[in-house]
Amino acid sequence: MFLNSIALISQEVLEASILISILMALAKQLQLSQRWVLIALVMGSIFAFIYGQNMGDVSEWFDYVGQEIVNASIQLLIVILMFLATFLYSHSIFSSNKQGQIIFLANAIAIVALAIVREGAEIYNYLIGALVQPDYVLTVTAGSLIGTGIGISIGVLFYYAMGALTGKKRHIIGLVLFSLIAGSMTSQAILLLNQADWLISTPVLWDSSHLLSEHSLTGRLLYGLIGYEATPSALEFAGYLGTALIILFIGMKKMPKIKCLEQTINA
Amino acid sequence: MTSIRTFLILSVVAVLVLFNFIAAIQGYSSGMEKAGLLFDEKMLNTAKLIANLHVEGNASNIEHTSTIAFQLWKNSKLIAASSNAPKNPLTDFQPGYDYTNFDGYRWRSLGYYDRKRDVWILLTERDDTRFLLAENVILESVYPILLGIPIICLAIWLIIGYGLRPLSQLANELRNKKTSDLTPITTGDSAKELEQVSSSINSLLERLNQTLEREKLFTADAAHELRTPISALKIQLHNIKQEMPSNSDALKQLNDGVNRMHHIIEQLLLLYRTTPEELVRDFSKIDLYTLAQNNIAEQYSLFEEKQQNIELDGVATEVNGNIFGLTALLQNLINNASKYTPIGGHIKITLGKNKDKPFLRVEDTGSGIPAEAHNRVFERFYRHNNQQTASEIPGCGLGLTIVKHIVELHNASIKIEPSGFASGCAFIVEFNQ
Repeated sequence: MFLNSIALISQEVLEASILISILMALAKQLQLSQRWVLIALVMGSIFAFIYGQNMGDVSEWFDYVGQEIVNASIQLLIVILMFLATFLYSHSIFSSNKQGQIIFLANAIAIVALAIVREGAEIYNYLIGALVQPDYVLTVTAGSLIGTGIGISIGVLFYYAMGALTGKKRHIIGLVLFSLIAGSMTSQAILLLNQADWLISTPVLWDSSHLLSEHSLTGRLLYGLIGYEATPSALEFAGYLGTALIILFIGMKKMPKIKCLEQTINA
Repeated sequence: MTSIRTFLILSVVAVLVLFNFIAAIQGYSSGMEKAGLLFDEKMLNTAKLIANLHVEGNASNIEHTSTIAFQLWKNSKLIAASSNAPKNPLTDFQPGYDYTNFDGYRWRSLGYYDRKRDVWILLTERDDTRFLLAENVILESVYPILLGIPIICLAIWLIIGYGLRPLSQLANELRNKKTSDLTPITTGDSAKELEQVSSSINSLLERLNQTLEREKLFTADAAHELRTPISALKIQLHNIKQEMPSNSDALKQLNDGVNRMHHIIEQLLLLYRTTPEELVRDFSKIDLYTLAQNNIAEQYSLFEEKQQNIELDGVATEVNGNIFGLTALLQNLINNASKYTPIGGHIKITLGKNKDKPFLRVEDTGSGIPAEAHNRVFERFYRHNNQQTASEIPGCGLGLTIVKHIVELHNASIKIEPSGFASGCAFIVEFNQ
């Protein structure tokens, strides 16, 4: 239970914290206030609690696959918002007008809040299930705290590491990670829709579980970081790759503008 | 803007938490592995002990704990067993460890063959009990790490805060330093790393102070020294006027030039006379209304010349200030209004109190000042030209600089708004008294 708690909680927290770190680093580069994170955290936590409490009812929807469908929808909505965030960031729409900045921040709040709703509800349900057994209360609590600590610490270090990079490197690394997270979200959504029988099953492309099991702690951390899966199906892989490429395409298209913007800010 | 303190606290805590927790996980994993080996060794010892049991006939009701089950086999015949053991062999007759399932639990099993007595001991131990026991023992060493983290975080917060105190003190001192204060900074027992910074700042302040003093002295001396030749020029000009026709264009331009030069010198002298020390020393209660009345009377020829309508509105308004400074302030504002208001225009001076704060408002029907130039008009030698060029309106761009300077020395504020008339602007001075 101890290692399971660490693995599950750190994976969920890491997914959200990396997303927050990248968006915070982008907002910082644009000299925008970071107060939006607090709003997103509060909103996300409230809705995660509500969603977690009603998970039983939700799972009965759509012939008892409601949970999968709702989770997949949240994931896909996050991906669409991530496309928009990349577009707004790379096309410097926010740099000249207040309205653009507000749209960028509102979009960032929506992405983080939705990610927290998704991950938070999972954590809530896991904890509610695990903590009913008195023997495991201490073990699960300790594991959850350690998992949370690991997830947040990596997020914090990642944020400062991004800040230490120079403008262009920061942009490229941020964009690549952003694309991998978006790809991971899409592949998770496809997996969920597959489980709900809303999508056809496609053959497994490879099996790397002998190299790194996705149930190991490292595997779970990598899953949280870049969506590592030991046995991806063809459709999941296509979704992952397609999403990542779209993000990279949108983000890389207007690279020179970022340089100009940075020069303006520095000036 | 990134805070050094926040960065240090968060990154140090993150590194500490990450490595402590990874170490805890590593410790837990290897601890559990070692505990498994210890339990296995204990099972082997128990099996050897059981092999030495002297059993007669078939004994299957031997006292036991519910977490252990065993069987003693000889020549494929069960000769003794714990009462919770099934009738079938607990595990294969193979020496070594394995796992087996019965009674609704998963058990760790051991097959042990005693050659001397020719008996097989099949021993099992409940795996969940072994796991829980080992986990409870190992987690006892993980809890202090978890409980210690908040204390360590608090210690890091305090230590970094204490370590960065000289830097905060230096930042505070610089933040609270008035723009006119060029005295050296004193950071007390500052850190070694900051010695160079404070020494460089002090050296810079000293050089700046010397430069400003030199500039002040030069301008004041130059202005003062120029006064005499200007006065002589004016007398000579007056004499020439007697000898030359009064409508001479060249004479008029010469007269305007001399007057402009005289005005610049007077303004420069005024700017450097209004030093904080001198002004504040002579603060007293002054009625702005009376002062404005006198000022208007003194400058009345100006309004008459341009056929301007001047209006003074309000009541007696007392402020604590320097008579010389406030006179210069009113003079400049009223003079400015007259200069930029066309012939036949309107100038209004209002005095009163707004939320118990005395205020002075000078508005006109001039061409006004666009919002983007509001801050710039207070800069030295800046002249805003919208419709009229600098050459058309006499001035040197120092009047509003002097006004701003006096306003600051009186702990007041000044702002520019559109005037209450159809055109023009209003200067509002609000005293925080």
